[in-house]
Amino acid sequence: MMRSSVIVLFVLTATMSAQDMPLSQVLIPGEGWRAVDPKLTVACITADGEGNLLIAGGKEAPIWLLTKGSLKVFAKKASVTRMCWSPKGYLLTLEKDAIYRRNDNGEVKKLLSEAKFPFDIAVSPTGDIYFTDIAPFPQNPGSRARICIYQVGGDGLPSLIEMEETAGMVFWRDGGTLVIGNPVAGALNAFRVGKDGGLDAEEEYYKLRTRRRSSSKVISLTLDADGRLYAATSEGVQVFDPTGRMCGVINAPTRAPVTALAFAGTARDQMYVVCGGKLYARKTKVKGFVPVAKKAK
Amino acid sequence: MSRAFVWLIGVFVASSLVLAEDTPKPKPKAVYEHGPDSEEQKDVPRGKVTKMPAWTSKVFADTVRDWWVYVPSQYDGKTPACVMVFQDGQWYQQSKGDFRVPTVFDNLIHQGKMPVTIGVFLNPGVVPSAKEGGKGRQNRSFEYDTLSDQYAKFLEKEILPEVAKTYKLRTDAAGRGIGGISSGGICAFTVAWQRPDLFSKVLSHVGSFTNIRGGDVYPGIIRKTEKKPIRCYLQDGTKDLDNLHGNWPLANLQMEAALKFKKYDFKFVMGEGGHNGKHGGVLMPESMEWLWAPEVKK
Repeated sequence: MMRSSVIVLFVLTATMSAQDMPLSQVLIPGEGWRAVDPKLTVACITADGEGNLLIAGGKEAPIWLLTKGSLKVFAKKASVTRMCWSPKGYLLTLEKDAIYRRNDNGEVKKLLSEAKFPFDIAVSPTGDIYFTDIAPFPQNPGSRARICIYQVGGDGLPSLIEMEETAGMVFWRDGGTLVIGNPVAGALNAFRVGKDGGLDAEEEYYKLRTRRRSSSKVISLTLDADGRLYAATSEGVQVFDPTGRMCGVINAPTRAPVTALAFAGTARDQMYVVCGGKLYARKTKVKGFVPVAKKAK
Repeated sequence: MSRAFVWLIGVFVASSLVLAEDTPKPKPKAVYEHGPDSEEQKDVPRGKVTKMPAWTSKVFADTVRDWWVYVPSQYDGKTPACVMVFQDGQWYQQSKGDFRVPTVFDNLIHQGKMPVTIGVFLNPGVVPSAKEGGKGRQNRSFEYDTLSDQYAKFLEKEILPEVAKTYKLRTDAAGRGIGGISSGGICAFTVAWQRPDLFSKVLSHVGSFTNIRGGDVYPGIIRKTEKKPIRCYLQDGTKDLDNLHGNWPLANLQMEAALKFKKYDFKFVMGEGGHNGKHGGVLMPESMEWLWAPEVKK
């Protein structure tokens, strides 16, 4: 009886307080932002399975691979607005009206031509591709914006949910929850991912800090290995624990909004952000999450 | 033994005595022990706690939770009973442990210090993973710490009607109470604040009136809002949390000051404990007697 009481007390105390994840668990005292390469103009970034950073420069610009401190060309010319790394070992890019699959050997494959204006993309730990598009797909012709699923090797585009606006998408580590930025509500909405890939159980799980008379302008999300969620916003990098509670806000390198972020580096402990079109980095105490470590092919 | 040596020992002993006299004695640790109203009594009829089938919610979409219902032996099936809801219900419904609500209710109802009251004990929801071995989404903080009427709506539209299918419940706010610990405490206050037409009695143990999801604004809001018909019993301890979300003792003192400023019907007890249910649990009989006193006098 004594033992069970102790266990109950432990569980109670643990549930009430032990999940606190202050920023002191993330930030290293004295460690600040450093500019990576001031000459680079950056639109978006992502990390590959080995911790190399992929850097896209926007319209008709190269995609760079930052590996062990040096820049290499990954693709000579592209017009990437968003990109993410697939656990299957290739880069997925949104470019104008289509989704492309790119390898570092120069191979490019158009994955989806039905997309009209794809503006965000995430890939599940099993490789399913999710993207947002405002195009009037037949499944729901009247909507203004929606989340659609495109599954590689799948057979269709199941229409899912409607949101007025979306920005930023990321899967939890087990792929069972998809988080989508909802700048209108000033929140990040969590959805359960069903066995068929459908989304339900929507909730404004992460409440963003917003500036008065302004939305948070969240546009990029990532996770660390402990389950913290990081949101690039106009207020800086907002950090949340796995139960949706804010851990804190990491100041932006400059007064410009943070528009993209990713963990990279050999140990995945470097936090990279894009701020005012420039790339910055800082070493942290945490490691970024990567579903499956695979090298670009 | 030389005289000098004896003299030295004498001086040492004397100075030790003086030092002992001057050193302030450490304050004894507060010990909170349950009283007889938290213990099962032989001559007191016992109510029944029933574990209900897991509840799937629509208000908190697709969440699933465990819950229990306590019915006192004095419930006659004809007279509508008062109702008291507890967050983190699993801890409150246990006959052992800190709170021991069923035992406290048995004793106080038997003594006429509490009206016949049905207890509803709700665990926070979880969105189960659709995938085998996947991690469910814990909804406790979202449900408890969010300053909205969603939890009140959940009680109004789902839980209370479900209990009312089997038991006659009072539907007036004076006949309904709600309580909880930590985030469950601020949740209780939020329910009554948002819907004083549904719940009028609030019990908060080490309540999280801090900035987990913006709950630190309550003292300011209370001061600038017309007084609502809410009766509160708040408990906290001087060794409660001081972390990234805020300082619990200060937050609770701010709540006390705001409630006092607006002349609320409330009682605040500051103990010496930390972020746990020890003190609040020992106070459970006193807090229930105080909270339900208006209904007993009727």
